[in-house]
Amino acid sequence: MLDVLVGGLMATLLVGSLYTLMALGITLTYSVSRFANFSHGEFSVIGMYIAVACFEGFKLPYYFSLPLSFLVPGAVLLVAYTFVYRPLEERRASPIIIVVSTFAVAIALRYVVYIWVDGYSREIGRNLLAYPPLITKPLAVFHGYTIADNFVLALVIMVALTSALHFFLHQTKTGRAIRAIADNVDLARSKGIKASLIKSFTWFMAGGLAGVGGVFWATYTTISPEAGWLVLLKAFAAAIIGGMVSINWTIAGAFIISFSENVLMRFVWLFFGISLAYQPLISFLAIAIVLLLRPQGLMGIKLRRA
Amino acid sequence: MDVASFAISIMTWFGIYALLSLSLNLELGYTGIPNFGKVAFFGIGAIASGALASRLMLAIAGMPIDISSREALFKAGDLIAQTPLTFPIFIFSIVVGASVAAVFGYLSSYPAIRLKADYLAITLLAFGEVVRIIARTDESIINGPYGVIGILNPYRILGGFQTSLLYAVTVWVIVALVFLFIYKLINSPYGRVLKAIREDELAAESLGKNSVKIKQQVMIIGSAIAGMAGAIYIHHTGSVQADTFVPLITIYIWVMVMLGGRGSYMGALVGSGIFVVMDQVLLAVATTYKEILFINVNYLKQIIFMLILIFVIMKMPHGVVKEKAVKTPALSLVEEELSHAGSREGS
Repeated sequence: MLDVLVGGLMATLLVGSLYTLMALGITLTYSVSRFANFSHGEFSVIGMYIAVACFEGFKLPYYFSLPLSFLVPGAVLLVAYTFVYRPLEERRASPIIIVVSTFAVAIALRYVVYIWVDGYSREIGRNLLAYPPLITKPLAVFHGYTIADNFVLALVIMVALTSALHFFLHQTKTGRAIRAIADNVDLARSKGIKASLIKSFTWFMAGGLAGVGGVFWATYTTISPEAGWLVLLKAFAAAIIGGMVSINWTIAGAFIISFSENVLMRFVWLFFGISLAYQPLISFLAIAIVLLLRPQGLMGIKLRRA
Repeated sequence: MDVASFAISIMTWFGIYALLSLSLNLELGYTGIPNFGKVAFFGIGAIASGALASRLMLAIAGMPIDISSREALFKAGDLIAQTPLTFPIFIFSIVVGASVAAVFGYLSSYPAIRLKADYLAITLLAFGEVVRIIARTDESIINGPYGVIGILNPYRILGGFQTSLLYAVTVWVIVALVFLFIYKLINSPYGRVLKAIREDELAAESLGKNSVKIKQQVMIIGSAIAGMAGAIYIHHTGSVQADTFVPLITIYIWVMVMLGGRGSYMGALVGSGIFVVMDQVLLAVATTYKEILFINVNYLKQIIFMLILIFVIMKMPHGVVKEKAVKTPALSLVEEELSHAGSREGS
């Protein structure tokens, strides 16, 4: 019993960190642009496959791919934002229409990834479309559970990136500009903040964070281009717990989801025999409960109007 | 495959897609409910009718009711194909598919009347995945990940070409009935209320329209149509697998409705027609130039569809067929009154 708890808690920390990285982007972009980005999951998938390519192509450990896994998804999301989402946003299209466009971008990107991975698979003669978790280096053993380097790295990077983000948002001029835009775009503009530049920068960061999250996802579970749906579902569940605007509550949300999946679910399975295959349902339940009971998120502040 | 049976196969798929896009158009185009979980109701219809029709087939054939046995299902199918019971089973399937989907449509109207558009979108999208995961995991519904096979085409006894021809005709009779129903619905005062709710819910409520109740009714009708399409789908393919019902199907239906034109019943048909033709053309190109193309055309196809969707959203938001004013008796009465008034003034 204790072992189940220890194993579950350790998985909670690892998975919570990667959910945090994935969910922060949704909260950031929703804060500045006021529409939900349904293509977010694909940027994690791009990050995953950069890590796989790094391992398969250059025989390097997965963490060497981290800089690229930040830059490439960030750049791709920036392109999508600049050429699709921003024109729609500026036209004041209804949120439904923008959401559909993010959905379309998601599927288009997914199949670009499919084509790339398919070609690359043929080149190296190994099927990458369903790929096992990347190899990690075990560092220590704790209660019968191996602590590998991905566990330590994910935690360190998550803490480093979120504190950097916190510092950035609260202490730097650009960060304060982002928060001002999240608060009230028109007011921020009237104070001379270049809203479009700051927004583009936020979108770039969101893509980068998702990509880094994807690298750790790749060390934790099997990888396929279809993972985008799962990432999206979990990232949204965490972001919705934070009401889509609160960074701190998004982090809390990521750990709440992760704890329910890795600890509560295991006990439900032990005591009631409910299959672990139902694990993805937890995110849905979290979304449904939060939205139907407290549409403004758990933190109790009212959502600011767009 | 010869040209005639190819055309008939396209017509059957066209019919299934037409039903789905008509139902999404009713919800999205007329009432403004962004249903991102359309595949859930299509899937629920298919899964419910697959689960019940296969069990019914075994019961009629007097076999132990165990849908996991392929042989038993095939044997029962062979037996029942000889009897005139095939058509009643098909009708039963459609009724089951439509009513179970309608019940779930009613349940999911609970979030639909409360949430903002993007929150509703993620809720319904997640709901679709929940349906798929439950159907795939719980082996008592449709045999878990293996699905149910051997579901009977109502005209199987005729064999070959005639079977598929009659089935396509049946599908299009159903599409015509649904189309007529939606046409009548939209061109009635009720249709005007739907559009009023889409444009301004608060204003519609201030005129005494119960928007909550009406949105519920629309979700029930739309889901029932999607469930019907699910039942038709499984009798066409003969099998039902949970993993067919991925969110990609939802976005296909959105492509059809957005391309055809939101808020236009003809648009839904035109959109699904264009989609089906393009789908088949790309498939034909893929098979012809298999050696030259080094990338899988199935992947390229999705990218092309999505680029079309993005293009439609950005450059022609009204779609191919523009929305027209509703033709309701009340409106024509007003026009008549006005023309009378005009002629009176003129004299």
